[in-house]
Amino acid sequence: MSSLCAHVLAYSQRSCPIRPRLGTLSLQRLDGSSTPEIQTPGFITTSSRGVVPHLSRDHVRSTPSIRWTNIPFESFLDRMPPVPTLQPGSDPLHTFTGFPSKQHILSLSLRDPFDGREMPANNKQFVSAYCIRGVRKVTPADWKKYALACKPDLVVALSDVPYTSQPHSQKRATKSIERSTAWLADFLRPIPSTEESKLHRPDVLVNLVGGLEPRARTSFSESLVETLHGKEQEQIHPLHRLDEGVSGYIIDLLPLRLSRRLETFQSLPGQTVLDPETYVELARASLAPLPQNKVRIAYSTSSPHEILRFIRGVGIDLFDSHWAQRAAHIGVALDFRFPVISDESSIWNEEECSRPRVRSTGKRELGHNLYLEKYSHQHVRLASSFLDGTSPSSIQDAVICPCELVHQPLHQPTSLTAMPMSTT
Amino acid sequence: MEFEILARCPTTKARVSRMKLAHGVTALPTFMPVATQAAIKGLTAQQVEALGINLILNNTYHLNLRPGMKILKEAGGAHRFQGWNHNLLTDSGGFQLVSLSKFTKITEEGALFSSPFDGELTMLTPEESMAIQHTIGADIIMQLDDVVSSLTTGPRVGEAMWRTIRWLDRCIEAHEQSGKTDVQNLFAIVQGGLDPDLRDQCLEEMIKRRDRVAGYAIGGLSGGEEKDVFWRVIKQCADKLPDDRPRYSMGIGFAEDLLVCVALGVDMADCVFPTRTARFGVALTFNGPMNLRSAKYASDFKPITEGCPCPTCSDGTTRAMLHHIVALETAAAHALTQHNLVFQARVMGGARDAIMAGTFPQYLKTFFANYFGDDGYPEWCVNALRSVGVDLLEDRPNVKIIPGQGVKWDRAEP
Ligand SMILES: [Zn+2]
Repeated sequence: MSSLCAHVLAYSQRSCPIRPRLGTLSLQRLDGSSTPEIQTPGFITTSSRGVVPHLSRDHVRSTPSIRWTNIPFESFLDRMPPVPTLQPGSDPLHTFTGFPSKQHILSLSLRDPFDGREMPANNKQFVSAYCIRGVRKVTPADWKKYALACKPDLVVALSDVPYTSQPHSQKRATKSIERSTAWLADFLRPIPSTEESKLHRPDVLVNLVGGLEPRARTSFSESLVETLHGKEQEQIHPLHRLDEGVSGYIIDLLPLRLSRRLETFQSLPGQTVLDPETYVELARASLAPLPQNKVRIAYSTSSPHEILRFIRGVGIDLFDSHWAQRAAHIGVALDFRFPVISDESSIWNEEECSRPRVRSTGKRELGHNLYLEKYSHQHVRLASSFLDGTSPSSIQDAVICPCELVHQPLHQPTSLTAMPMSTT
Repeated sequence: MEFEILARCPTTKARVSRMKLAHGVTALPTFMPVATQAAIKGLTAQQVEALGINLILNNTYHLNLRPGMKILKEAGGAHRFQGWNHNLLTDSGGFQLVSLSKFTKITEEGALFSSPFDGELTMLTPEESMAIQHTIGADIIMQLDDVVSSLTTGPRVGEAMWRTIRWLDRCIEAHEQSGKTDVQNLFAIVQGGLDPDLRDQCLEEMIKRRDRVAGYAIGGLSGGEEKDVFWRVIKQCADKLPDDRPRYSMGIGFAEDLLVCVALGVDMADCVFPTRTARFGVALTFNGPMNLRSAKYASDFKPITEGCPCPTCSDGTTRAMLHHIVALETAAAHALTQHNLVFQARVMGGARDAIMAGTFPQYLKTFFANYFGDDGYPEWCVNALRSVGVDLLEDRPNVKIIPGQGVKWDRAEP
């Protein structure tokens, strides 16, 4: 069994219970080797059908910011049995998707965390998942079987998050908590020792459910740390508490946003601006009962500002880079850093590259929309505010510029996706 | 340009040569991938370079529309614009203009066409084509030719051929006056349709100008003509063209076509086929094309080709993984483009090695046996190779012979 090692290097001086923190992450493997360290706060690369969109394998290799990739499993449900479960070798998922286990951490989730489409209901037997041939029902037993066969480094335990049409009742939220807890317990049930030697047991991440109700969120987390007795404990023996079998926590924002949007719309017509701290508060409700020494992941933050809010508010360690990858997909080269650079700063590299434009509100844009005509004349690097990484300096704007974007959809996102995804 | 023949096949007309241009040496025979708009679709210049490719083609027509000459001038030419430090060839823009423009009218002055963007009428003269290609700065540039479809018959074919010769003279003048003859090399294009007499007249005129052109292309083919006619025109031209000039067969990309052309004495070829077919999910292999959309590859954990040095196969990308992403993720197009370009390079590299070793006839036999196997050989290939002393049927008298094009496909069954 491999294990995820998270070291907190420093906490901020703030005196709240859940503080911003700086750390490193790596995965110790059975053979004593470990993956390269990931510095946190950091990023998880998102994938589609098992690949980082627009990147060939040689580009993935040469992009040092791709260290941990999450693979949504549902696209493989179009064939039975799912093809990655048939891959021979000791590291099936790494081998099949081409992320060498020496360099990459792979986590496996059933659903694509960025797919918010409406889905048929889950029930206590199964979760509804989506593949190109339609909706598939996946039971907790299926999920365990797939995860053990694919041998990812980490697996996200099945949780019951409804994607049926909103709004969801409080009763539904209670069911979600019950099912998610039961499914986690089932996942942690020991594998018969005769098979333990052949089977690799991935680390487990758990989705902190509970919807928009802070008390519900807290009570789910409390169920993870409470000591179980009797039959409940026997099920997870030798563990006593579910949390002992968990390596990290996920705050999944997309379902919250889907519910919240509707709620706000109904109660406050015409007033759709949400308090950006709302989601941080919900995350805090989830994290408060939980120990500090485990990895905290947030999915579907929607901007660098929100990322900063989650670091400040609840010390999140890893964020997905879906947002940055989408920017590349639509032709935007990110170019910003924090703290925001003043106009007089010498950091700007303007002989080489112009700064992102300033809007009439006085705020500077976060990147360059390469579809704009002006970039067709800029035969320079992409970014003016940071210099790390190798790709920006070697790729000129003009070659991936308006002329190209329309007719070369294959070419352009490649160069942008390969840009460093760090924000400083 | 320095052009030196290193070896000749003792049986066929094939030869190996080295062509030294301003951006390096390219070994011939070679296949040139097409980077239509200053990019091989899906790959960065660094990736193309890493495949061992050092001569690519840009389309003048496309570069002239986008990014346009103003931007290319700012960038300092197409090499710098696309980050490509190796050899580059541009066509004249004539062929695309005729095939892509809604309206084209050929006059003695040039080709009048309407822009596909704003419909504005623009005249492309031989002098203008040279000026554009000088701005692009490719190592090999092509004369403007009067292109007619290879299926055209009647007086238009002869008219186009003679006009192509007159336009060659104008291109030569413009090119020599530009002062760029030391870094850019002008190729003439032999026209004359499918008519052997017209081809002969064109060859005669163009060979007269041999001291003012660096190489010759064989144009006006690959437009749907019978393959048995196609190879005879190639042979006629290759036989007559000067030995000390590279010969370029335009629009040829299927492996069997390439090898037949090489055997007939052709040194260079280009085609969008290997890169385009990659984007449609087809991998090229020595056992024939492999359509990865086909369900038969869904749980096939072998690479496309065992031992293939391309980034896709050497990384162990399986057919099953490619099947899962093909047509749905651009990464599949990238992976197959890398493989197919390496396949083309291996076909041509293998031919060069065999010619050097004096084993080219055997190389051809092995290739056809592996590639077509029991599906049968295209009759035209058998005929063409017989004309240069290679009998594909010598060791395989019972193999089926397929009349017509005989192209091998791997159709995707659901
Ligand atoms: Zn390959």
